[in-house]
Amino acid sequence: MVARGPARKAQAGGTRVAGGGDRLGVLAIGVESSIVVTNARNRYVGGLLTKGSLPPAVDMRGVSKTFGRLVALDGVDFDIACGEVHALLGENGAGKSTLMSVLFGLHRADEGSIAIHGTPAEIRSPQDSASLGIGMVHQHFRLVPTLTAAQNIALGLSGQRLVRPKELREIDDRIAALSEQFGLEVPRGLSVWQMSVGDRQRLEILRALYHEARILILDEPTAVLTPGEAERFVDQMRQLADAGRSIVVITHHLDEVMRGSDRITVLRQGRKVGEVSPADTSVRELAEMMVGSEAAGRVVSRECRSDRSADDVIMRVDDLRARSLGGAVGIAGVDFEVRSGEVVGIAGVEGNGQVELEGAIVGTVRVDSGAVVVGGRDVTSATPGTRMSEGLSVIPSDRYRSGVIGSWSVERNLALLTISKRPFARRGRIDHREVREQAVRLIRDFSVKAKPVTTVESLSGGHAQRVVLARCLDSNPRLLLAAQPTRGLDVGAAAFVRQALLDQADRGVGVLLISSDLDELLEVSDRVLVMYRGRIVGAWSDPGGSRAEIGQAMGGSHVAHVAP
Amino acid sequence: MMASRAVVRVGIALFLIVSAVVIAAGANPFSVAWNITRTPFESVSNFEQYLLALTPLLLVSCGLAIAFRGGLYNIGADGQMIAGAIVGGGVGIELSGAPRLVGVVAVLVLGAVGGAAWGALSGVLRGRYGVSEVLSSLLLIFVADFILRYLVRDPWRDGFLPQSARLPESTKLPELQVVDVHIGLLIALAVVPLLWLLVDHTPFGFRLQALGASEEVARASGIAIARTATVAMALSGACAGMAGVIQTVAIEGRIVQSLNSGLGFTAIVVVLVARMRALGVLLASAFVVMLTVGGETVQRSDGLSAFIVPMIQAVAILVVLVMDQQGRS
Repeated sequence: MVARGPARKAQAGGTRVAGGGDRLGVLAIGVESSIVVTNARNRYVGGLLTKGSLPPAVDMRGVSKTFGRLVALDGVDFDIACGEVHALLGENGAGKSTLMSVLFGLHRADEGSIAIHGTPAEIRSPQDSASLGIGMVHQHFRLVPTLTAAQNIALGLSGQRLVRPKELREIDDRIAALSEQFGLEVPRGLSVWQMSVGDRQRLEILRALYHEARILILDEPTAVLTPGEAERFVDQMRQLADAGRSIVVITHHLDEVMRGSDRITVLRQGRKVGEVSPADTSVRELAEMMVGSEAAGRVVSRECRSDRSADDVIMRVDDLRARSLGGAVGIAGVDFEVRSGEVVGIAGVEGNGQVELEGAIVGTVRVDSGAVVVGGRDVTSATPGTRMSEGLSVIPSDRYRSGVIGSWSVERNLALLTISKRPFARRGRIDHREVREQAVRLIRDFSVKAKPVTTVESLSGGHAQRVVLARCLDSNPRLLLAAQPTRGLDVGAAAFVRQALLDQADRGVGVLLISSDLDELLEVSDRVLVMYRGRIVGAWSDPGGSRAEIGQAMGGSHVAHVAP
Repeated sequence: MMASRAVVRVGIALFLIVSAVVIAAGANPFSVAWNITRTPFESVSNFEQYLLALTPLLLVSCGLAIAFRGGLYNIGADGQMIAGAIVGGGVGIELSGAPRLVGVVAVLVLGAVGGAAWGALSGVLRGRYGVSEVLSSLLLIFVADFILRYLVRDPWRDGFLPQSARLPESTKLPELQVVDVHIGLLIALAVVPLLWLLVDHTPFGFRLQALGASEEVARASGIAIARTATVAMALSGACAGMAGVIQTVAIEGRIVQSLNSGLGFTAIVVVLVARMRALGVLLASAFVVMLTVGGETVQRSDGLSAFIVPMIQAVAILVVLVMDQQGRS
């Protein structure tokens, strides 16, 4: 945001900030009462006025966008009033991210117009949108792994100039202040790669706050926050809006939408299907609008759960200890069992050892002591391949890093686990027809919106996850480890995944579900264990009735330890 | 679109620069280009020379293509060639009494084994201990080279020059009937379709490509990283080792100390131009060897300095790479 020329002209429309300042939004720092934004003719266009008396902060009209033959957006109207929290809802692939990418300048619309504070704007790049005071927090992190929090923020500030150590310290101090102010703690001494996913998300949010953008686009901001933090975040969003900032939030959490937004726009298949205010709608109605009426009745079935009588232990973890992969804690002595036919949920705020636990079970993290026993065999130091041959199958928490190969086709990704077995390999050669048939079958069974040859990187998150799920379940596991399996998925896709987990349990598979979504855990788990600071601090076998206690345990408040 | 146009412009600019240098050196660039192109086909003996030069490059390039597809950047093919020459040639010297079939097969197989062992060393280091195969394979060139120098100067030395005794007749590669070229050419040509089969049509090739695309996903999918990397590097080294022993047996006739020829680096260019695909490797090797063989001609026919010729070759390869980039974008 450092200007490279005097009084950098913001936009084709001629919007600039009063007072000769070339940093839009900077005027708003701290001194909320002095927000005054003018256009080129010094006419007042924005600031601390009551809602509704101003042109909308953002006014998008008839926006269309196609990618090849895929119509991502089809004549969408979307506006954000000044000081409003506007929620954007829709399934994965409905066009929410594309619409926001158009606003942020990552994509250009094929048709349609955008006006910012009543002035028509041509947004060609993120630089354009930044100079218009638009900030975005992306769902996929845009941080340099080898740099610290302050260095990452400095990157966005310095342009081509070097940042002096003193400036870096100032940035660091401001991050600390912002962290304090918004309760978004990040380990400022660590590089991003050492941070947990939760830390990274918080840093992304801090970066947008640092830039003091007046229009904030938040793409799934609360996906990785704890219920408490998410609740607080919703309040903070309100505060920001009340302070004159305009917020559009993409989310799947319907209750947050109901509680925290002024208006809700729902997209489906690139079209706007509704715009409502939370007072006039219900969670059920929103879900219906999102998924279409035919899919609205889809709720996770729990019918067969009582039938699970099988009682043999499929996995046992004994006093497992492993060093941290960069977060605050690793795992510090974890014991539990998973029996076949049950769903064991591991609850906990992210960064409390879940990633290390996942790695220790998969076999990608070195264990310091303790044992992992799968199907009666001690696999503590076995390779992932050996564990899989014992019946382990994994839905990894980081699906793009260790779940799918983005540049590969769907059919090749689906073949990853089975390629060396018959009938896919016959006499040392791959039978490409079998590979194709498997892909066609799994694409159909799991309703993946793709062809066998489509690359996975071109799929939406939900459909990429279906690919992972299909591959995983088709290998007929005896033990299924599902780590954050519905993160970033829409209501329909998440329900699909949860139902699949329950179906597996009904078929006698032991399911270990690591999730930071408490609702999900309560919905599908037979038992819930809470992880806090690398330990299991509590276990509940009637999770539905213990919501409050579990929530407390996740937050670290001590509860009586129940033997798992 | 813009980018590819810029790329074409760079290509044309480079080509013009070379033409300018050629003109400054007093030659006609069109004549130079024509002479380079026609040299291999000018006479039977030229064509034989061309095929003899093609054989080792094609073999080494096929080997590198295997490793590269697995994301294993084997830049030590020269070391693996030397290892092949030492093992295959060292045993070959002792085979004077053997029947020719035994001698030839033994020398070729042992050459491949020597190269495979040298390559597998880098593969194990990478797969098991995470040591970069780029570094280890590069450094192992020097280790192999010094072992070779020691052997031909001391224990294997025969006569005044640092080289071994002549390899016996029983290890001499048979000649093809049509042209005066040894069967190494057939071996190299046979490896091309094998490369295609291995990488694109076997489970091993699939796992190899998975490793090359994402080690993380490959590991999480239960693929044995260490084994895959080791086998790939061994196969890569086997091709280079066989090339090394073929050069020793068929060209030098004895183990010499100047085996470290930089062929492995030329092969890197070939594999990159070919985008690691089998047919591409064949075409790119043929092209690069044409530049080498033709380059020697134009020193005489067009009176170009020996220093300008490699420059022309480099630019010709750059132009191909640039056009390849354009085709991609």
